[in-house]
Amino acid sequence: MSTGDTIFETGMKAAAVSDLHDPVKADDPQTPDWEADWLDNQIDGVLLVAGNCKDIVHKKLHHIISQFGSSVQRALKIDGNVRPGTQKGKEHFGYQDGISQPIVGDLPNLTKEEMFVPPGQDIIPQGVILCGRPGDAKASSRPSWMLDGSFLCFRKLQQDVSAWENFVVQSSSELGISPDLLGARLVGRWKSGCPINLQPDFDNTEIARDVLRNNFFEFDPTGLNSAQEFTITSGQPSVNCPLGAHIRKTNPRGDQPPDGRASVNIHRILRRGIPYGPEMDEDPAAERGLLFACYQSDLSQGFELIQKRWVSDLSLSLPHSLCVPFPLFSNISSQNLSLPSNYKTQANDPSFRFPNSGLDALIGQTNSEPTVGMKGLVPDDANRELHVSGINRFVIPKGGEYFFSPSLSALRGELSDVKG
Amino acid sequence: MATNITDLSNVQGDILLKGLTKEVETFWFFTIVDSTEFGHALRRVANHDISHTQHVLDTRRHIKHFKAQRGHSHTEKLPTVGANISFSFSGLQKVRHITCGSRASLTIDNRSPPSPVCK
Repeated sequence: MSTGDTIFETGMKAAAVSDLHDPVKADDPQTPDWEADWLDNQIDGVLLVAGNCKDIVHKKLHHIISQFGSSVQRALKIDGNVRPGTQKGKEHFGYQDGISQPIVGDLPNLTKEEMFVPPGQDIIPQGVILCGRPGDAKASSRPSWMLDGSFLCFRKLQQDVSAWENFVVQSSSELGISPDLLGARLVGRWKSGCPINLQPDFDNTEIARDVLRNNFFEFDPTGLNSAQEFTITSGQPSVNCPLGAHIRKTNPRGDQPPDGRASVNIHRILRRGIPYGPEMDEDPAAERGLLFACYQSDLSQGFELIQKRWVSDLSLSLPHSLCVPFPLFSNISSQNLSLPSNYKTQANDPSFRFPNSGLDALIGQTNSEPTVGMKGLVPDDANRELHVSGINRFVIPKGGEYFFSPSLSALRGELSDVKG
Repeated sequence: MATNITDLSNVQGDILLKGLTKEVETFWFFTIVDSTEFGHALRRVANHDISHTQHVLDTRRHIKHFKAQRGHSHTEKLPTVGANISFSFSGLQKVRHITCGSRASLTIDNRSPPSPVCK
C-alpha cells in the first residue's frame, strides 16, 4: 500500500528533530523532547469529537468507543476548549486566532452567504485541501480510497504564557518600544486581530471585528516577490510589518516568488486548532497551549513546507560570510556581492527567501543556532536587533502525528470491506 | 482529469468550510489491537456516527434559523456535536491489511510493487 506521501508514511516522530527542529531529549539527541505517551504509545488513529458542551461530546465519544469495543485501545486523550468570555477565539498569549483562512472554491449547493469571500482572503482550488480534486498535483495517481480525503497534521503545542509575557516586557524595554507594540510586531497583528499593516501605531478593535477589513491588506513594501535583495541602512525606518512577523512567515502573500499570492495558494492549509488548559487566573501553574490541527492534500506543500522553510528557515544555506552583508536587514547597503551560483535556484524555490528576517517568535525553532537575530522590530530604526532563543521557550512541541482523514465513501466501502 | 466535488456528504466535517462547530473538543488517539473486529465496527461508525460537510452545513443553517427565531440576545443554545476519524500510516496499513486480504502489502517500502488488488 502506498499513499504517495513520504512525510505521512515516515510519521512525525521520526522527522520531528531533523525536519521540524523540535527540541531534543537531554540524554538522546535523536529523540524529540515530547511527552512519554507520544513517544511510547502506538498511535494508529484519532477520533476527534467536537461540540458545544462537554456532556454531549463525552456522550458521543463514548458511544463511538463502545462500537469499537475491544478492537481498539486508548493511546492518549486530550481535551481542548475555546477560551471563555472575552477571550473567545484567542490563543493563550491573547492574540485573536484563525482570521486568515483560505476559501475552498467551487463547492456545490451553497447559499450566496455561505459562498461569501471576505476581502483579502484567497480562493484556492479544491485539490489544495482534498486529494484527487483539481489542484492536487498527485490527483491522477491517487488510489480511489484517497479521493476526497485530506491529510491532518496534529501538534500539541504547550504555551508558556508567563515566559512569553516576561520576554515581551523585557525586550520591549531594551528596544525602547511598548510591550503591546513589540508583541504586535512579532505577530503581525495586534491582540484584537487588527493587522499592523493597517494600524502600525495602535490597536483598532473595530477593524479587528470587521470581516471586510481585518484581512484586507498587503505586506509592505509590495513587489518583494520579484526582488532579489532588500537592504537597509542604520537609522532607516522599519517596514510596517517585519518580515519575520508570524503572519508574514506563515503566509507571505505578495512576497512569494514568482507570482505573489498565486504562488502561495498551493501551500495553504485549513487550520482547525483549539486551545487547551485552564485560564491563567484559574490555575497559573497548569499546562496550557494549542492543539494545532490543519488539513491539506499534500503535507510536503502544506504544513511541512510552512514550518520547515518559511517559519524556521534562517539562511537558505548561504555561506555565513554572505549572511552578514547580503540579507534583508543589513547595515551595509551598498556593498556589491557575488552571490553563490546556486542562489538563483534557491531564490525561485517555494520558500521565503530573505535570510535573517529572524525566526518566527511564536512557532519558529532551530536546534542549530543558540540565538537568532531579528531586525525590523523598532519602527524608527530597522537596524536594531533583537536576539531570540533558537530553541523556542514560549511554544513547546509536546507531541503530534500526521493522519489521513478518508472520505465517507472510503470509510463505508473500501476501508471497511473486511475480507475473509 | 480531476473534477470538482459535487457531493459535500463525502468529506469529513472538520475539513471544509468552517469545520465542526466547536467550543470543546476531545482528541482520542487509539491503537488498533484487532484489525478485523475494527474493520466491522468502522463500517457501522462511518454509517452512523461520522459527520460530513453536509451535516455541518445543515447544523449551521439550523443554528442561524434558531437564532433568527429566538433573537440574538437569547442565550439558549442548540446542542451540536460531530465526530471525525483519521488514521496514521500504521493505522491505514492495519485497515488495508484486513480489507485487502492476504494480498495486501504490509511493507512501508515504496519500491515494492503495489498489490494488484489494493493500492
